[in-house]
Formats: sequence, C-alpha cells, structure tokens
Amino acid sequence: MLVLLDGRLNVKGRPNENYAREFLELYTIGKGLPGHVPPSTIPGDYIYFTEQDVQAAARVFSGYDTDFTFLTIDEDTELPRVKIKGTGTVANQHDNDPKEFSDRFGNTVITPDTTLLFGDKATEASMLDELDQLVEMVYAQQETVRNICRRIYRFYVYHEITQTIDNSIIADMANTFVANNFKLQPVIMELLQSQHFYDSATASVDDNNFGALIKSPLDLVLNTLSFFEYNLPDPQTEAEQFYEVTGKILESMKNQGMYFLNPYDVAGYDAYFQYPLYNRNWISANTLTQRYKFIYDNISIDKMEEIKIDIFPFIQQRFASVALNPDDLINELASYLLPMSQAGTEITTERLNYFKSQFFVIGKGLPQGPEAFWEFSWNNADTIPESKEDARGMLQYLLNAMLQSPEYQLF
Amino acid sequence: MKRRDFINKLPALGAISFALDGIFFKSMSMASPLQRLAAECPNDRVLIILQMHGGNDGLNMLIPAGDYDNYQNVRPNIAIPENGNRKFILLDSSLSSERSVGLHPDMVGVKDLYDQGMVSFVQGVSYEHHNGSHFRSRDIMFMGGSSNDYISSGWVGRYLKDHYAPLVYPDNFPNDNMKDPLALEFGSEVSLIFHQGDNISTGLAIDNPQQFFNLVDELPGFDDVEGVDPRGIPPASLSSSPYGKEMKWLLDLEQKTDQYDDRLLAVYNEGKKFDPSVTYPTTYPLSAPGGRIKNPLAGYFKIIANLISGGCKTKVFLVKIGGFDTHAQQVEANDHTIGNHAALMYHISATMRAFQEDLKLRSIDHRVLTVTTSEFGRRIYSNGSYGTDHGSGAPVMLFGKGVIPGVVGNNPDLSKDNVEMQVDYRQIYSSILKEWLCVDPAKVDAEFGTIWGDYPGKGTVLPIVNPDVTSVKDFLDKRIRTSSCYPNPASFATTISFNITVDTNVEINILNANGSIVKNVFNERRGYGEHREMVDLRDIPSGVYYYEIKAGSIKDVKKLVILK
Repeated sequence: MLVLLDGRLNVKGRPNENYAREFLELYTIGKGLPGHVPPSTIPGDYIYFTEQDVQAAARVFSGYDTDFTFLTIDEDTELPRVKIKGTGTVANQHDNDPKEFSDRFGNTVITPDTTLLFGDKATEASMLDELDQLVEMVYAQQETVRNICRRIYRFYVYHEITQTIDNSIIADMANTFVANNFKLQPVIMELLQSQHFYDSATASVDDNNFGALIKSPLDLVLNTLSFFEYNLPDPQTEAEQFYEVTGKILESMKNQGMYFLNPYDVAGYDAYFQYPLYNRNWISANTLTQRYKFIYDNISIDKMEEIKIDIFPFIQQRFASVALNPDDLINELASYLLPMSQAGTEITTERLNYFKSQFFVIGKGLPQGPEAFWEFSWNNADTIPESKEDARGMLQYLLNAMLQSPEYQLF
Repeated sequence: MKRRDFINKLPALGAISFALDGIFFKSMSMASPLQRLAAECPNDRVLIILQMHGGNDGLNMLIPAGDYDNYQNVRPNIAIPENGNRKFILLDSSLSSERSVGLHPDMVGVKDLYDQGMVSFVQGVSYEHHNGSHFRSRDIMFMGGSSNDYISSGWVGRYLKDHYAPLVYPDNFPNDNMKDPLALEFGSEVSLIFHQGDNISTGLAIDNPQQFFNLVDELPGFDDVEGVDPRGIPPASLSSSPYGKEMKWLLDLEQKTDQYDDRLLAVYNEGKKFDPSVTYPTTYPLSAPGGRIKNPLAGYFKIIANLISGGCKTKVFLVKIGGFDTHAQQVEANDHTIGNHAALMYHISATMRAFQEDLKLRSIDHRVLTVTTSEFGRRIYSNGSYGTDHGSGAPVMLFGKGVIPGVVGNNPDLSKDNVEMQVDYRQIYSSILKEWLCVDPAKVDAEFGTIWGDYPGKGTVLPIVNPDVTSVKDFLDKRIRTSSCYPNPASFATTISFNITVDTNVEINILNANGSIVKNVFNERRGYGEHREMVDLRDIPSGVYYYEIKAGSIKDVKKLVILK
C-alpha cells in the first residue's frame, strides 16, 4: 500500500488520500450491502463512513516510507516493515495533530500517546500506536465485520446476498469472526460445514446454490490441470521449462480477464466487487472464447505447446472400468467435470447425445458404426499404434466438447 | 456446421421473432405522426463513449485561463504555466473571462478540432452528493441514477431496449434488420452501462474482429452437430435455481459470440476496403513514465471507423482509457506540462483528431458523436505528491460534426474544495438521446426519466448537440472574420483585413479563376486580434481573381478584381 496507493508520498500539510480512502471503502468497512444502503442526504456521506473520515485517516497514515534495505523484518508476516520519514527517532513528516472522525465512528479522536512522543514530536512508536487506534476503531464497527463476511460468502457460496441472508447467515458469520478475535479460518470452516452450504442435498431448487459459482480463470486453469494430474516441471531441475509453462498459463489467464496479482482496478477483479453481476463479469464474448482456447490448446495433440496433457494414458489409467461403454464413460466424466451430474441432477439426455455425437465424429461414417469402431480402437490401443491414435482422437473430441462448455465454467 | 444454421432450422426458436420483426418495420411507414417523426430521424447515428478511467483532473485539462492567478495558487506544484513554449493553449479569445479556458499544451489536436467547430465542452458536470468512490460513482453514472440509487441496468442498455422494442435482446437478435451487436466494448469485460436487468448485456466485448473470428471459427466449443441441440440447456426444473440462472447467462453469451463473430469480421473487412490510411498516433512524443508512452486508444478508434464504414449498425461503442487516478506524479516535479496526465491528454487529443479525419475521408463524420465520461473530477487543491485526490465535478467533452461547438458553463469557483456542479450528467445523456439519437423527448423525461430520478435541469436540453448536423458557419464566422479587401477592384495594391480570436498560423494566397495560386502573400503565425495586410498587386495582370485566407483549419475565399 505504501507503493500501490502512494502511502510513502503521504506527508503532513498536503496529505495524499489514496490509501486512506481505499482502506475504508475497499479493505475494511466498505460501502454496505448494495441496494440496501439507507439514502444519505449530506454530501460526502456514505452512511458507514464519510469524506471527513477519509481525510482524518489519511493524516493517521502520513509520514511513512518504504524500507528497501529489507533490514527490519516484521515478526508476524516476515515481510519488510515500514520506516518513518525523519531523522533518527523523530518522525518529521507525520501529522501529529489530533484526527477527529465523524459520528459514524462515534466522533472518535485519534491523538498520539504522549508517553511515546519525543518531546512533542512524533516517533515510530507513537505513529504505530495511532495505527492501532485506527484499526481498533474501524474493526469495532459491526459493518466492517459484515463487509468482510459478505466477501467470503460471495467467494464460496453465491454472489446474490439478500437482506434475509445478510441478517441471518452473514450475521452469524460476523459473530464467529468477532468471537474468534477476527481470525478468518474459523469463519470459513463454519461456513463450509454449514447446512446452508450443503443446501443442495435437502432444500428446494430455488435456494440450491450448487453449480452457482462461475469459475475464475485461475479456478478453470487449476481445475483442468489437476483433473488431468498434470505436474509442473520442477522449478529446480527444469527451471527453463517451469518458467515457460507457468508463463504460458499466466498469459492465458490474462487473456481470460485475470491479470494475475495485478488487477486493472484497485478494488481487485470485477468478479469480486462489481454489483450487480459479480462473478458473471468473468464471462464475455472475449473471455469465454479465451477459456475455450485454453482447453483446446492444451488437450489437442496438434495444438500442444508447452503444456502437454496426454489424455489417452490418463483415461486408460483412471477410467478403464467404464471406458468401453460411451454412455458410462460420458456420465462418469461428467460426474467429475460438470456441476450437475449427481443423482437427481444428472446431465440431460440431450446433453449426453451431444457429447456422444462429438465423441463419434471420427467413427460415424464407417460401415461398422462408431460404437464398434470405438470398442475396437480402445481394446487394441496397446497393440495397434493406429488404434491408439484413433482412440486418442475420439477422446480429444469428447473432452473438447465437455470442457469447452457453459457447464464447465461453473462450480 | 455453425450453430446459427442449426437454430434457423428450428421454427420454435427463430421464426416467430423474425416474422414479428418484419411486421414491426413495415408498420412504421403508416404509423402515427410521432412514429413517423422518429422514422425520419437519421437512424444511422452512432454514439461513442470514451471512458477516462480513474477520475480525470479536469482542471489540468481545461485550465481556467480567466481565473489563472487563483488556479496557480491552489495547485502551485502542478499548475500548467501561462507563459513559455509549453504554456496552455488559449481555447477561444472570444469567450468572457468567466468562461475563458486554456487547453493542456498536449491537446493541439482538440484545439484544431475546436477551431473546425467540432468540440463542445461542458463545465462542472456532476450530480448531487457526488460519490468519491471510483466504483460507486462509475456505477451511478453508468446506471443513470442518483447518488442513492442501485439499478441493475445501465442507461444505454435501457435506451437500446426501448429503441428496438418490441424485439427483445438477446432472443430476437441478430435479425435481418439488425445483424450487428447492439453495443460493442473493447477489452475483457462489459460495463454496467450496457446492462438491461437480468439478461445478458446488450454489449459485446471483443479486442479485434479478426482475432475474434479466428478463435470462434477454430474452437470445437462452438461446433455443432446436425440434429442435436449443442447448447446444454439445463432441465426445466432447474431454470429458476442459481445454477439455472448462471447457465442462462453463459448459454446466451456463448450463443451471441457464435452469432456475431463472422458478421463483425465481414463488416470490418468491408470497412478496410475504404480505409483512407489516416495516420493514427502511436506514442506520446515527450517524456512520460514507461506505461504511458504507448497510445492505448487509437487502435480501437480505427477499428470503429472500419466497422462503421463497413456497414456495422451497432449504435453505441465504449472505449476505455485507464491511468487517470493521478494521486501522485500526475506531473513531473520539474516540468508540470509533462508526465502521466500530459500523456493521457495527448493520447485522447491526437486520437480524436485522427479519428475525425478518418471519418471525414470516409464520409461518415456526420454520423458519429463521441462523448467523454469519468467517475469524478479531482480536488481543486493539489496534494503534496504532485497529484490530486478524488473530487467531484469535472468537464465533459463532446466531439463530432454534430456538436454545437463552444463552452457550456463557467470556470469553477476555485475558493471551494471541489468543482461544483453546473450541469447534472443526466442532462448531457438526455440531451444526447433527444437530439442525437432522436428519442422522443417526452419518453426520455418520463420513461427513462423515472429511473433516472429527479435532477436539476430535467426536461431541458443542453446546447451541445445539433439535431440537424448543419454547418457551424456562425461559430466560425465569429472566430475568424475577414472583411472585404479595399480597394476592390484594385490596380496596384489592396488591403486585406482579418480578425482571429486565436493565436494561429495564417496563410493568404491570391488565386486565379482556375484556382491556381498566383501569389503567396504570407504564411506565418499571427497573434489574435485585428490584422491588416497590404498586398502588392503590381506583378499581376488584370482579371478576376480570388484571395483565400487560411487560418488554422478555417478557409475563407473572396473575389478580387484587378484593373490596370
């Protein structure tokens, strides 16, 4: 934040508000549940915080600098710590006057702890103490806690949060978050073990959240590579290949709309904040084609570049028991790859027929028919090289169809 | 086989809407007077929205020349100078001091367009309780609402919905009358501005028609098999579940992708046949941080020019340029006229000049209007890091032959913390809808207006768009004035007087009846004000001649008779 949001340029007198605003708006208290924020009648009033709070927080953040010597390392994070701007103990670019916040924070005034000052001058200790006061003040707000829990909910369950869900599920998560001294892990564990999360098993389809998340490009790429049990080249012994492969993956993700760890907006990827569509923002004409291209390039034998997934030995090893029967093979693959594949929500007959017709593209014109052709190719793949090629070709058609599909974009 | 062929063979899916379509368009000719009026409005107009992403610092784009001392005082570490060879460009000396503005020195292109009567500036564009959040404020202006509104559609999405009613997107599109995407955006994502509630957006996001086509064409994901529905529509029992809703989103987008890729390439290639090869800018010629050197806009504007001249009927385009969140290093410490913001000003200015030239040479310049948008302006006071923090109001620019050229509104009150509102942003959009896109004004103020909420100036029209795209002669006459020369007829000498309100290059020639130059009087830079030039005619024989005055991009020709 010192670099990205200009923290190191924020000095007393003419403060830079960049980090202070996003600290409140994006990273802590937020802007409320969209569509359910009470109207405001005062300029600069965002209900949960105000412009006054942005300006006051900017002054709390003033006077820090980056330490590129990497000599002082923070114990908890093991990252280099900030340093103060100034000479030795005195911080001379920090605004040391009291900072008065709005009534949204109970008119809190953050003042330096006089015991930590050097005379009447700010020190590193007095500045860090002011930061503590700020964090305590912001996290004491119920809205901060809820805002963070909403983000977790959207990530794991569904983007739509109704007022009812906000007052029940989100409120429960918020209680857990506070009760566990603001640790995230217990909140996530509780959510993932909750009835709500597993609603698909019991509830009516209307609040069935199964298959309701659109995968991010990272999810899509990792899902695919791990399903095929793809191993990255060893970064130690095959460094060059490792960087070629990861470079290729990152480039594809970028084309799919995810510039990894470098989002276009300071708020992150649209999918995680952009009302009203949230993760639907991952899908456009442009990005959907790029998602399909990732599959095509990496499982089609004639397209393979750095990442080589050989689907034939994989299917032979993992799906041999069902492979001979096309219907069984498709259903079995769907149960791993597509969200709706369990009993009661299985893929439709039309869908099965479509996948099968793609599977049979190679064999359909032959006199013996595609079923017999598949059976022969599959059974003789280890002894007749041409049969292995045929079987691989048919599987390639099938998997391209199944993975370049709307369903595969969903969890 | 491509998917649309398959769909055309299924009467239940396609045929009804096409028939409906035919009836609708036929009935237009015998419709009510109001509908006839709408039908007479040129239906081939296009709107381009140029988004300055991050919040543009309007005060360093449109420098308050008439209030320069205060400007210098409130932002001493970033102010654009009024002297020197990188001083601001005085836009128009015919403007009173409350209105007099200077352009950033890197906006020569915009100045040139202004002198041709093709730019309108609107000062202090904002809305009540302007939100200082990038995201919330962008949403508000894309939705077309008030500061407290949450609307799941965008104002352009609603306009398009109305424009094509009773046909409904996505189901009834493309069709024989509208083969193109209703809106187009460049990049990965589609902005809220094109949304229309629960359906997929009316906008399509692509990077380049050729690459887009190549991909869709080769990917098996878009392959079809005869006699089998390739799309994977979920069972009806799931259609109202979240899974069903997300699937509908994906399916509709996949289908539109498959339906539009070859059409876009076809019109794009058709447009390239007429490409007059205007040189678009590629880089910022002065020093700027690395990422700012390359022009991120020009390529997209050129694609748009090709698409439109190739017959693409897409109504609205959106092009985005990032980098406006200039909290720090907006300018270079040792030279306020260069740096991040300067490069952005240059990119926009140079691109718009090239684009307008391109449109003109393709004879489609009367059809295209470009309007800028940005989530907010920046604070009046600069901060200590050669930058500016989030503010509220800011100027908007409109480009094209269809603008009413000039400056609407005064310079902001610099004693305030923020640029105050003079014009609600919805006034601009509603004026564009009424005057440019020919939407029934009552409808703009009532139907759309209900969603848009109440705003100052609702029901009025700003003088920014010229509904008839007529000449801008008055505007130019006021700014460049030539009197008749005296004496005329003349024997050995005559005096040509002219008045320019801008500091610009002036060229005067004497032409014969064939239009060939017989004498170049001068060709040099002249300051603004009244000028008189004595012309020596001793070496020119008797006859009928013309004298032409070229000032900037304006040309005036008058008759001169020489009698010896």
